[in-house]
Amino acid sequence: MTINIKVNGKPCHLECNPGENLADVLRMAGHTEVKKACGTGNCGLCTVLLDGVPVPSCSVLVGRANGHEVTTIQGVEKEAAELAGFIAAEGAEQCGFCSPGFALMVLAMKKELASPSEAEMRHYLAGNLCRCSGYEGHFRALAKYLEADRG
Amino acid sequence: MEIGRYERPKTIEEAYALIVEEHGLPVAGGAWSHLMVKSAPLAVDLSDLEMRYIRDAGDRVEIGAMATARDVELSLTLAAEFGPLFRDATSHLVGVQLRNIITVGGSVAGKYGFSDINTVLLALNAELYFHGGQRIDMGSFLAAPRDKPFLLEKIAVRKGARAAFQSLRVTANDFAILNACAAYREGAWRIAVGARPAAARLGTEAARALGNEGRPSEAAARRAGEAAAAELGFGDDTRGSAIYRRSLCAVLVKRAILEASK
Repeated sequence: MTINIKVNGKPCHLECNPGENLADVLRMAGHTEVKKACGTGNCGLCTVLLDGVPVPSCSVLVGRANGHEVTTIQGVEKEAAELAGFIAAEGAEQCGFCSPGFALMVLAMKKELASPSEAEMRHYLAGNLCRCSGYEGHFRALAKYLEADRG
Repeated sequence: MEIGRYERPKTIEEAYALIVEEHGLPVAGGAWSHLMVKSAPLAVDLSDLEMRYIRDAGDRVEIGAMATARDVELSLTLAAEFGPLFRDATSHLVGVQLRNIITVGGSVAGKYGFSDINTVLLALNAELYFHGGQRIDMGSFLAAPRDKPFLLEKIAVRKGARAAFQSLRVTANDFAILNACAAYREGAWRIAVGARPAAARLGTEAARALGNEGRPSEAAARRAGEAAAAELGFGDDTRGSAIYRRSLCAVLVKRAILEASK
């Protein structure tokens, strides 16, 4: 089946089985910036935006994505780089494997929650697991990033 | 998952024909189907149907089968009528990403044992509307064998209940070891217990123990919890043993009753 999706604004035509998961198909198409770990939607590493909404791409059938728009971390490179600076400054980034999914969730959170409290941020980002940092550095960075963003 | 043919029908009639006449596999959220089904000759994607809504319908709230767990978690309509009940039963489910894709209809139709929302819908005596005009209450649906294909359109929950949800998890965003919901409406209690780990069931002896007392004492709530623990069946899995679940049942049911009594 030919799957037609827009990835980061560019049309993409993929020959694949509609039952494959979106994460695998994106990676096979060269989008290795999409990471994959648990394969069950639990860890958040494979997060992409599907029509602007964060989803675990390992748990989305690619047939469902047909005709829709996908944004990976490459599609929000500038915003992600800005956030990455705050994360690096707090020493929160270690292996970096969770960073693409985490950054996309932070950007989605910014759109969805106007001025989130720390508890709201922790709740929103609870689906993004990090096995290096213990999260504290991430949340320090996030508080500073959002403060800077608000000016 | 290997799919032979993938259809995304635009009308409910078309979807129903594909499911019933061609034995297509309905795909609601799709989050669990790829884990549970290795192959399907025909998959019927329900995402283009007009079944994603939560709306006030007079004396009840209607939840479209394609409403997501995140829709339920954030619904002001449900919160206005039932307080934090639905948020409590959905906001611990893994992460926002997954809650953006899993659907209420998928959880109900799958009769998943781990489901939190099924326990709530059972306690609230929700009514399920299937395409073709059939209506069935949640309890009868959960207890019925899986025999014929169907297309669930919406779930209706009558207003006017006080209800509370309780659960215990190994980690905050894991599936529950056990969950419980107590609901009081028009002089009668309904006590539902799920993640046993089998699908949710009613504790009829527990409800009987409470009688028609809308604000039972702590002792009465404890007796109801013990009655639920005695009458329901529990099993072992990686999250907990049957013995542990039985002990937990008494505590969670008691807590749910007391919370619903406030």
